[in-house]
Amino acid sequence: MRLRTQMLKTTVTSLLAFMFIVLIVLVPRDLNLSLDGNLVVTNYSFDLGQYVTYIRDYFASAVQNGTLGGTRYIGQSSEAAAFEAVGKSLLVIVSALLIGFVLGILKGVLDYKLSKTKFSVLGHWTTWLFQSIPDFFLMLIAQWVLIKHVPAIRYFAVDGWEAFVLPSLLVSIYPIFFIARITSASLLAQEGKLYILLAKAKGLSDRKVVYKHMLRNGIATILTHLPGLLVFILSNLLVVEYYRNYPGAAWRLFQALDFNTFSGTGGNYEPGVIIYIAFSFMVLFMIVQWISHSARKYFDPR
Amino acid sequence: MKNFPLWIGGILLAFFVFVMLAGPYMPFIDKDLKNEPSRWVMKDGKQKLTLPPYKPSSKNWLGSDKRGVDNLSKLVVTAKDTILLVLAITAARYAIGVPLGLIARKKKGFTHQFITFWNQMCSYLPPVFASALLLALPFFLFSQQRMGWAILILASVEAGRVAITIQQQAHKMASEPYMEAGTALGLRTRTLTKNYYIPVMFPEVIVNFCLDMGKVMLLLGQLAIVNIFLGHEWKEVNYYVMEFVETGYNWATILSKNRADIWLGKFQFVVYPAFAMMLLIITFNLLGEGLRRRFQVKG
Repeated sequence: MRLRTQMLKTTVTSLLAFMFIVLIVLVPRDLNLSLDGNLVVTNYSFDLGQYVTYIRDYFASAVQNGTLGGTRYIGQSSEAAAFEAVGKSLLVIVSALLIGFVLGILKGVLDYKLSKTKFSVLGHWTTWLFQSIPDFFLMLIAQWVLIKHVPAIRYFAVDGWEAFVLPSLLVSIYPIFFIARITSASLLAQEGKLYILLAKAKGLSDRKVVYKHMLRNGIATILTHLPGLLVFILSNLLVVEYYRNYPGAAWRLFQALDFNTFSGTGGNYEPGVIIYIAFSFMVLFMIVQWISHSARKYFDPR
Repeated sequence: MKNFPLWIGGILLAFFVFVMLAGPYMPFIDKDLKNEPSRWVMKDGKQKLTLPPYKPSSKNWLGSDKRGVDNLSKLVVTAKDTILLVLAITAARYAIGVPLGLIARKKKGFTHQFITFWNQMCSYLPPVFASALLLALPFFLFSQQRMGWAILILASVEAGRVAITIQQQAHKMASEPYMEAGTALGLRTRTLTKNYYIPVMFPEVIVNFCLDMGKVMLLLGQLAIVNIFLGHEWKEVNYYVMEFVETGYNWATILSKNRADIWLGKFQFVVYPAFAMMLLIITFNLLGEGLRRRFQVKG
């Protein structure tokens, strides 16, 4: 029952957050340009009544036409555009989640084991260092190395294996170290606990103690951070897609925002696309939260 | 030298403070960022006329940009604005988060609901998406106080998280015996806050503050990559052509000016500001880690 309330709460919050984003997206962006002498001036003012009418009209026409409007490309609906963009990134997001989770736990166990040897610098400090390097710098260096020194890999590829493998690996770098840090912290916290001493006294091998006792016990804590992991992945995805000019979900979201330095929002602003992509991110976030809740319930029923 | 991170972090911070205050007056730094359209260079025993960008040399340690402005000078001169901006955003974040967290320390009531909702809402979109969506609203774009709004927006996207952290700490403290003693003595809320809450919570707040400085720098870098500035004015740049012109000049601006180079396989102009940002993030992370160790030893 508690699990169900938790899930319901997550769903309601996500929906509210999504509605808030829709409200921001639909703020009218028409600038009333006029000439004052020879100077172009704008008198943008926010009018609540106008805003409410705009939202009502927008949804009325959406219901009437069965679509949230067209896109910058003639004949393409925003549904099709968002579906295509999210489809291109979905596999990357899911595989980055898996890679980050599995390799992250392994790296965490490695860090924990190394902390007992004289090579402890290689463990925790590499994790710490990679977590401190900003994603835009890390990707820049990766791109530099790949373009200049490994020309065999087509860095900007939009199809073929590179289109999937490269972003998945780049996006999962940060998550690996994020999970590693949590894993090793949870393993260190269990040190000296009675059940560990008992397991050791029974003569179990170190490997068995770590994997069967400590990790099994710590997995619930690690799983709590799964939604946070997704947020990191989405934020890295933006940088990777932006650098690679790859038309995935994060890139398309920014294209739909049509931000330019001349008038802020350009004529190709596509609210429908932004709403759909934000919606798919929200659904993804909700699913990950559900998985995190139910897995925690399964592994740690206390 | 037991607390290694604190020492290195402290030294790096001292270095940054030195660069901020004295950097522009160093002899090898061009304080006015003058451009140099051409230069005579000795090559094979002959004087040759060269055009920018100049390669790294004794005159330009990191080379110059496309207009002949020294790259190192640009970074040093803009260091002060960058660090102060990061400090302002982080300070605003804590100025919003800490009082809210303290008010909601009983984990019930309106403030509690409010910060829980705020935190969850902002944790579902990455901060860079949320702040880009808000910063691109016409109201903020054309506001006269754009800079103030931008600082407020960047501060509030993660202020909920700060409030929740503070709330959890305060809640945990409330059940300690010394707090009960304080309450039993009939101390006023003000005295309790001043003599009980603040001294106990200060170490963790300062540690988190350092880590948040790093996070804010990261966010500024990401926004620079997608070309959204914090402070700008709408100016006429050509006949009847209006454009947002940045008013501030910081590392994020340098990064966003050269971001198109990324797609051309040219990295030299992008790497310098990105590296400076990384160094600042590492400094504050080291400082946070070091302070955490230092305070844990004490407490």
